[in-house]
Amino acid sequence: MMSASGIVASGSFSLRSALIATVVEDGAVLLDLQTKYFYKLNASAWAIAQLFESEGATLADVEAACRTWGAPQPAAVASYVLESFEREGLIEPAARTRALTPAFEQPWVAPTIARQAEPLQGLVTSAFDPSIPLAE
Amino acid sequence: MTPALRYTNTCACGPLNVRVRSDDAMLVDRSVAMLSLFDARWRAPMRSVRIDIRRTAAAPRAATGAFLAAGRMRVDARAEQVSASTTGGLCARGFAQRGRDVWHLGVPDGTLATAQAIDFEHLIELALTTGWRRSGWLAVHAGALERNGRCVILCARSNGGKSTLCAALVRDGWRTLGDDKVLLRVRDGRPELAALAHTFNLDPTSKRWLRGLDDIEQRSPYSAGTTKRRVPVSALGGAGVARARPTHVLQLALTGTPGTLRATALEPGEATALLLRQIVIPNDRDAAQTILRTAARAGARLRALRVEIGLNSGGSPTWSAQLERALR
Repeated sequence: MMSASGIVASGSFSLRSALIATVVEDGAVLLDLQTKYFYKLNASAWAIAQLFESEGATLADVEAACRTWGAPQPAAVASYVLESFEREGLIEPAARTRALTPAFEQPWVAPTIARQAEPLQGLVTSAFDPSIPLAE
Repeated sequence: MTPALRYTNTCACGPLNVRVRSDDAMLVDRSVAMLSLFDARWRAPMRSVRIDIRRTAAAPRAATGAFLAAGRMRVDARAEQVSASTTGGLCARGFAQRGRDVWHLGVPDGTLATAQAIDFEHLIELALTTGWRRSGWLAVHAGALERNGRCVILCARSNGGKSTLCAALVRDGWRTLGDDKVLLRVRDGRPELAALAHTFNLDPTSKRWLRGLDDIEQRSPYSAGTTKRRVPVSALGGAGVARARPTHVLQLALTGTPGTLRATALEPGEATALLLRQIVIPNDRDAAQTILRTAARAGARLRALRVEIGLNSGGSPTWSAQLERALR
């Protein structure tokens, strides 16, 4: 079995189509419409995630973008983020590679990807009532 | 040509003006009972919704649930058209037409079983939530209260204490936008709440915690699926408010020592997650994107707190003061 780093090092990936995202002041939030898991990405992680919004990006694309953005140790950052995305199921193999590097004009900070402990909604009983227990 | 439907009634439900028509008076009455849950009167209903209900002997074409799977209801959507079916054999088809919504509901012949009555309510709710969303508002399954410039959104699961805490605080002078259903939007970068109801839906056991509810079992039932009763805010000695700018979102937990209220701050990012947990999110990307964007923008402006309360008999006169201190 290939290690996670082996998988992400070998191919081109894009964000899964079940993901939606919205930009917030300090990054973005992502929601997986299939699993209903909710993720908070800081600005650096969101910049990297945007590489995968196009037709596909590779580990080398991420490393190059990180270098452009002034990230220290871009290879290590790229590996960490790509493995995190793969582990969380945020990316899937892409048929092509065509990464467009988004602008990133703020001081670089270490990327963080935080997943909520529980999915947002497990059982919806009506169009109004999500009926999920809050963590107590 | 489709024959005219004899029985009709009209209700205001927040930003919607809903007209129900049917050849079956009972179905109109049942619809009105459901619609009247949203009894907060807005000055100018902006969107017209017409719901035509017909009895049918034919089994409905089953929806797949691609848009939403909610309990016994499956919903599909394409462009401005929505279709739904339930396991009880009811169906609905709705479409937007020149700035208004038109819905056709099909109900099996004969007396409705309890499960079918719940299906019926869910189809009416589907028409309402669709209309509210098209009016720019999100339906949030939460209570809301306002006092001295602070407005809290109260989040908890069903039967999680929202109504009880709302009722207790209303008696201490807080004004309410509702105990478990409010509308949310973001305007000029700031979240805004609007009231849908001036009636609380209280479990009969609430009389153990709240004084003056000895007659609660005699009050109208909330819906076909619960034992809750409708209690007007005025009957609790409180007052409602139509609109408010929320400042806090609270995660309510019934885990405290009886009679106490304890509040602890949550991480800033929790506000968005708390809101999203109280909103039904369809599988449809566009609809979900609108919800995510609104919740994230609102959540960015709100402080999140976890509030633990412990119910006790005789009410908790210190909750209001304790909560106000926590909100400072």
